[in-house]
Amino acid sequence: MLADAISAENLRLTRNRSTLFWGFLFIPILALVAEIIGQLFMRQEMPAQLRLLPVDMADQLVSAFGEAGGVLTILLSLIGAAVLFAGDYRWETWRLISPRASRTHLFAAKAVVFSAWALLTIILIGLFDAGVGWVGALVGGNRIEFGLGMGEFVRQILAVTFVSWIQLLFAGGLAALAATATRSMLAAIMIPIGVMIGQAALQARYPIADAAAEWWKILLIPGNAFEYARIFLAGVETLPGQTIETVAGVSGLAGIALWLLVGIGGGLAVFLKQDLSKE
Amino acid sequence: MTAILTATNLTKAYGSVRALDSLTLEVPEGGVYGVLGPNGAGKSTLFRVWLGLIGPTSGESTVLGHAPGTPRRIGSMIETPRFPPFLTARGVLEWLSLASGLKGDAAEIDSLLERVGLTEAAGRKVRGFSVGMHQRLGVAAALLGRPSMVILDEPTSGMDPSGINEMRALIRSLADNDGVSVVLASHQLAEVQKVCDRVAILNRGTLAAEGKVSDLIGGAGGERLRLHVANAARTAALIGAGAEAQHEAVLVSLSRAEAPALIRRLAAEGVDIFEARWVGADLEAVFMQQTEARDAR
Repeated sequence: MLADAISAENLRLTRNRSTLFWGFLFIPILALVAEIIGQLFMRQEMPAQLRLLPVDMADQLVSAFGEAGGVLTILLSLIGAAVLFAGDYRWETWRLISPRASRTHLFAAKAVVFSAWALLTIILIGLFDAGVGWVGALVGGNRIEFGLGMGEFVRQILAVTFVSWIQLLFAGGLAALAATATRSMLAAIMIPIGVMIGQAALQARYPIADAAAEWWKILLIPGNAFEYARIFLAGVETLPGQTIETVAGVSGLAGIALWLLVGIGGGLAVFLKQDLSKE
Repeated sequence: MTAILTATNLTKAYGSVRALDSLTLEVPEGGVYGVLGPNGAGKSTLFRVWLGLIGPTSGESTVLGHAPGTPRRIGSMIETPRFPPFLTARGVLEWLSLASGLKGDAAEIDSLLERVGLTEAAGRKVRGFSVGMHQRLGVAAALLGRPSMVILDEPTSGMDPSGINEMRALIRSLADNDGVSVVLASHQLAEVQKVCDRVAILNRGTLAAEGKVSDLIGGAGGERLRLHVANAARTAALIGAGAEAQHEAVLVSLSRAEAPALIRRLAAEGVDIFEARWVGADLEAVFMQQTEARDAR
């Protein structure tokens, strides 16, 4: 049963405290500390009239959740992904569990557990970031506003959270494929980093504005796919009165699906055919 | 006879090396079945194929009537097991129990820890465990979920003599009291003779002999003199009737009273005798006979 495999994988991860901390909890804690320091600094250094500007909590939340899937979060989440997907090779434990459970369930359980902890990471970062801003506003006596209607706010917060989460899943998927193909924990970290550097170079070569015209540049460059999917799902205007073209938004979503399929689907395909003679 | 494990013309090749070479074998249900063989005979490879860890190059195999790799309640321990080092012994069994769909039953886990003598170490992290403790925990893991069959690869490896005795008793008890079919691989022939009902002897990926332990020992004849010599074929020819050349030895059927004269005669003929010893009718004799005879061909 997949549910049992998920429970087993989650039990093992939660008992591995260093991986849990560095892979999924360190960045939220860092975000909390950095935001507190930022607030203190701002309130010390900023001119009084700026310090008393109203705080838009809708904007704070959307920004915080949108930025939660940043580079540092991705890099550290790779530790969690590498341990999850390469751990059984390192500890030679596939031979213990694979005769008793479906390989598809075992692999899927790892993907589900990584996804769940990645989502928790994003939520904690967003809440800590926005929460400190809210407390800062209360303490500083700022007027607190909510600049979006509830429907628009929900759409935007879901869209940015989804894409931030997907950014972590993209990295985790690459780690899954690299771990399975190489059976190495180090490769499970380094290969995704290499791919992300490569895609960042491609993104710089084919930036957003250029990519709008050609769907394949959105589809094949993950960074562009994330950006277009985020803008499309959030329904925000790229220019006053102008929203993204549907074909570009769908290309972004298709790009996300493609890259998740490459990572997680590719890893599963390799694992299903793999000899576990010496993990 | 119901076969719980079968191999039909099973071949597993690693490049030009054939770990299993058209092996055909059936393991019957019940009792303790031993798979013996020298290093590289293909024992672990055969177990790995049965457990679905590796696929064969050609041929077929079944486990409880199904293709390998189909999940079912089979207990297994392949070589010295390793575990995530940050888990305790109890944590290992909880994790494996959940992964096997057994819901981490605490009573069963406690019972298994007691059965393998790890109750006191249950809360200790496995990174500090000795090889023998890993073996015990591996056996406990294999027994999770009361499997109808367990496959154990070198279950006493790394254990001290008292641990070996306990393990032997546990294996026999599984077969006799719990009705579990136990299939084990071992180099320790005396152990195998004590604990197994039937054995298969593998050599270079092929089946050299198979049968009840008592039948194999009976078929090997009585006590024979084993001479370790440089040129077995020439020595056997010099001795004549009753001599059987093996790889680096000659087995001679004769009485103890005749032995000194034979040794003097061979020495006079210029045969260098490095060792002479009586080989009793035991599994070791059968094993040596089968593996050396095949090597000599």
